[in-house]
Amino acid sequence: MEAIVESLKKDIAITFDGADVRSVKFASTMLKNNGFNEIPAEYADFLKITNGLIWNGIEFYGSKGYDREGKDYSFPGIVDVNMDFMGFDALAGKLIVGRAPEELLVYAAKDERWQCVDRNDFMVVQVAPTFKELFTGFMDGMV
Amino acid sequence: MWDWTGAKNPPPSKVKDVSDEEILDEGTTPSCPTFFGYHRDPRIIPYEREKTDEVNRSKMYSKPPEVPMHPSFLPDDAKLPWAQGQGGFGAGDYQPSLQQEQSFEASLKTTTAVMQAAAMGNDFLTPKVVEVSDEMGIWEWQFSMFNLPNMALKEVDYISLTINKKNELRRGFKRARRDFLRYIAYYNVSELKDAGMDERSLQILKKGKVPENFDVHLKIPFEYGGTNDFSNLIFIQTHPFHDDIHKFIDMQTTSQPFGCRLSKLYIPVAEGRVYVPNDSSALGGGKGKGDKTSVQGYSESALQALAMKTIDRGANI
Repeated sequence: MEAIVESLKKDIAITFDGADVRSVKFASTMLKNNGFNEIPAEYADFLKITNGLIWNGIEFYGSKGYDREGKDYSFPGIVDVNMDFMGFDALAGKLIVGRAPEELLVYAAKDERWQCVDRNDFMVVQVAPTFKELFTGFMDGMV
Repeated sequence: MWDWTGAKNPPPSKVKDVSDEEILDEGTTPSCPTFFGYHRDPRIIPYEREKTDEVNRSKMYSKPPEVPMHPSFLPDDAKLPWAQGQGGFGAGDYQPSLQQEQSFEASLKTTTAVMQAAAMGNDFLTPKVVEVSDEMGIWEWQFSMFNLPNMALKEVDYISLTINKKNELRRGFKRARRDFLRYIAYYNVSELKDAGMDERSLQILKKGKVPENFDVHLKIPFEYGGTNDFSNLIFIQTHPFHDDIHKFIDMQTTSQPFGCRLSKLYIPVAEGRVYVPNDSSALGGGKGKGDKTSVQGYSESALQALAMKTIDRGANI
């Protein structure tokens, strides 16, 4: 994953400092307290490389949000994004980890699968067994 | 016709009927010689019109085609081995009356299962469509609460798409998005600059990629008649505008059970290929319009900071 992130960084990707264990644990606890799934270990490992990622319209949310002052907007953290979708039946049992154009990238804890769901009707359009496969599959599609 | 063989005597011309007969025997079309590798047999296949009276028709459609069913959709007692004792793959005899007696919850469960299966590539679903009465007024009021300037609500109707067609459109969107970005980088430069793009961002667009916090949005979703045509795409700021459009749509769709589609949807739509939240149509001034060129290119926060500095300077003087 590190090599992929590095290569994206050389392109136009915005990366952040890696998250520390406490920060990820705090976000996990916040999510759990609000009825969401905890951050999966695989995604936590990714956050240790870069605590959030923005590339070509694809966003992966970090354990915290960032004020992008130069760009005049706030890049939300994983907790904020999931709170926005609280109470959506279609996303019950799923943790949103990122977004792509007209799609959301989620982790379905029940099936232990990484999914890409349609942004409008939340139907599953792509499934990957690991985060790495979802990540690389998406990046390949958007190059 | 010119004799290209150079022979003094012209080749014997064939009588039309004989020539046609030969062609039929060879099974080759007159306009397409065999060495082209394309053969078509023009002979007419004897065709007898089927007698489809009521009796025959009922025989023909007494049993629906058998569709293999995934074990996860079968009742627990029929799971392993697959549908043992129930006639192999899924269905037994067709019993429409049983389906009609299903409860709403059960039918919803089935719909969800079928839709999930469809997402995996099967092509035999029709989502449940929920009729919506004319609620434009209510949604216009809701829309006024959103900060989406230069957008108007558009009423769109649901059209049924097979999952294969939808997947095809989705794949096409990725290609269209790339081409669209390149297109606007060359043909919509002034609008892009109004939207806050600098030279570096324009270079990124020319590569068919989006700069930070920008994205391409489908104005009308595929299931409501949208296509991958450039007229249905718009370059828009992700946070907050793209997010807000979807939040507005979510307000309508999430009121329904998962898997259902609304027959009508009210969608915020902006004109043009680049969404410019602030109206910059009067940049050059003109009669009755102020000249805004002096503030062009500055964000609201930058202008506020500038104003504060001016105030501070005034205080020092």
